Amino acid sequence: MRVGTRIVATIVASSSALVAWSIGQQSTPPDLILVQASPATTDSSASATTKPSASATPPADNTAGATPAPLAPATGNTAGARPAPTSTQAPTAPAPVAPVVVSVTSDAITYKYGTVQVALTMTDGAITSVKMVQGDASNGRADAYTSLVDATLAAQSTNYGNISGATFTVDAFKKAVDNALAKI
Amino acid sequence: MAHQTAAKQVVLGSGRLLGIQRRIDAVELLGWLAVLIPALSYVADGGLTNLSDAGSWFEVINRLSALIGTSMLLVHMLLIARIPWLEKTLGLDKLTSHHKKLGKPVLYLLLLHTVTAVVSYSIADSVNPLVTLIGLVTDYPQLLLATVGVVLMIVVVISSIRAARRRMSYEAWYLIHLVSYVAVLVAIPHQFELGSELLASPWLNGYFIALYVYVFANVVWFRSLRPVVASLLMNQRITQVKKEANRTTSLTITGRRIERLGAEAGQFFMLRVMAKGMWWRSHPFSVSASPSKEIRFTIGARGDDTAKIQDLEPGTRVILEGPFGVFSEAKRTRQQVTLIAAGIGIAPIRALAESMAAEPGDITVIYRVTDTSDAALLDEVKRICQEREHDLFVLTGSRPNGPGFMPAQQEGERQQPEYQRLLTIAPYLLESDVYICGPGPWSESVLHALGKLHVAKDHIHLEEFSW
Repeated sequence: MRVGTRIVATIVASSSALVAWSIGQQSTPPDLILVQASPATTDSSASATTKPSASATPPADNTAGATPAPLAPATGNTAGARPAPTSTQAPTAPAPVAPVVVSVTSDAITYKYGTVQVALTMTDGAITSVKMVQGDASNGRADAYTSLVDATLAAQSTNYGNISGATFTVDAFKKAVDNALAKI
Repeated sequence: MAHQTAAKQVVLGSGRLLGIQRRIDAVELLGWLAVLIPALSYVADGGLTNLSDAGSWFEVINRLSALIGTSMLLVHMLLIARIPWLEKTLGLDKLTSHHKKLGKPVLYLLLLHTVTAVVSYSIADSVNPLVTLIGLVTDYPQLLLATVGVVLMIVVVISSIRAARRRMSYEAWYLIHLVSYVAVLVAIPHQFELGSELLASPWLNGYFIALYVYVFANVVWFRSLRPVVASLLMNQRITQVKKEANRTTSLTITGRRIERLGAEAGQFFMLRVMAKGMWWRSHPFSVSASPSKEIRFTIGARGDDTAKIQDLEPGTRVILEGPFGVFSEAKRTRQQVTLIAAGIGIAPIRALAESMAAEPGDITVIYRVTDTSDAALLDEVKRICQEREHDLFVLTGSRPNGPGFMPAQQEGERQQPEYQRLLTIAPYLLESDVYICGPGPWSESVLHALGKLHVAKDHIHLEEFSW
């Protein structure tokens, strides 16, 4: 490369880096930045106690939304608040007025940034509500849960994509939902 | 642009030189741009905001080194994919030297990515990095594959550093180098399945997919499929094996419409001879006659397979990969031309002398030999220079003590530095395009003399035949 070209190229490259940087300053930061040490203070006790049961779930089985996660027996979940799978079923009544509502709470899924546990409600076979029982909300994870809940309701499964910077959280969330679905 | 019509026409001049330089600059800029784009996209996406603590710094370095390292790796592979438009602009030797230069930086960037990724996750987890690494590798098969890939890359780079190359046979190095394709392939899944930037940005995702497809398609087509297909379609075979002087052999290759390969004088092919024990590796050989319906190589016996070439039977199938190189009229911008050769370096020089557009006296040929009775192609060179009225100087004699490309001066002779002797022989040297072909140390001496005479680099064209 000629010297002149090199100088011009360097100037152009560094100024475009500057422009990119200033665009980046204005843009909304990525959904999540995972690197910051997760304090995990709020849920530390819960996550500590639930670890054994969660470890029974094989990791990396995250992609296939269809495969139900192998179900760990609900023992060891001493989180206390965890309600047993309650089912408010209308007794085979001829009048199909009352909708069939099933609520279930997943196992607590422990992963690298803490623990995720969801409460899932199904009405007439459709997922109508997903609530976070446990989940570290720091580092923008709260926002991620909102999007993940929306995505689950929209897809009626865990068959949706990833969130930038939140691969591990997304995996854990999907596991929790799959786990809850498998319990129904 | 050089137009080859019935009567050969060549466009010369400073405008053409500028055009050549611009094309080189454009191609090199394109390479840098390919590396820069993903990084800029990351920064513009807000990648440099929220740099609060050590963990986030590690994360940013992790992402940036991954993006830059990967795109640089792809450019690194593009350089040896034998893509014609790249080759015509830069020439295979320059592409190879760029490829060599990029090898270590690519590895360092990808190692940096590996280390910072593990460290940033271990900070987030507040456990020791080794635990994180084991966790990542066992939880994510894609990361296990990528780790295997980076280990293979380390092996490939170690095998390619000079000290290792010297102790290793070419065969061993070649086989290890083939592993690098595996190393690149096994690292792909984790980029597209776990790479946050690629998952977040569809266009960056598309950019990398396109780059991967382009690189691998070109490697597969130009490095393996096309030469084989062309060899079979053209039925490329050796039709003549002729012993020349000085343990050199001329091979003539013919084939159906072989002229379609589009070779020019001064260029070379990678020749693969489909004979027992030779088929698995190819060698670079310069065309030693102006290519036409047949392609002729003149090959010196200097170890390995080149010694066996003398004993080849006519009819043996060959696979020609090429033509390669810009040591040809494509780089000529001046009317005066000085061609300087030593030893078997005469092969491309002879072809250039035969085919370059020239008026009588435009071309000066300097041929350095130890002994005229043992100089390859000397008779042919003499005949060409006589017919086309080139000036020919055959420099005979033993090597000087110490560096130098000319014969040692005799006791009684007036002692002169080599560059003055060169200028005496070739007075138009300073207005010439200079083409040099010979062994490495000898070429260095010629370059040294040309440097003393302040011949501009743009007008010096060099082809080393041992590489």
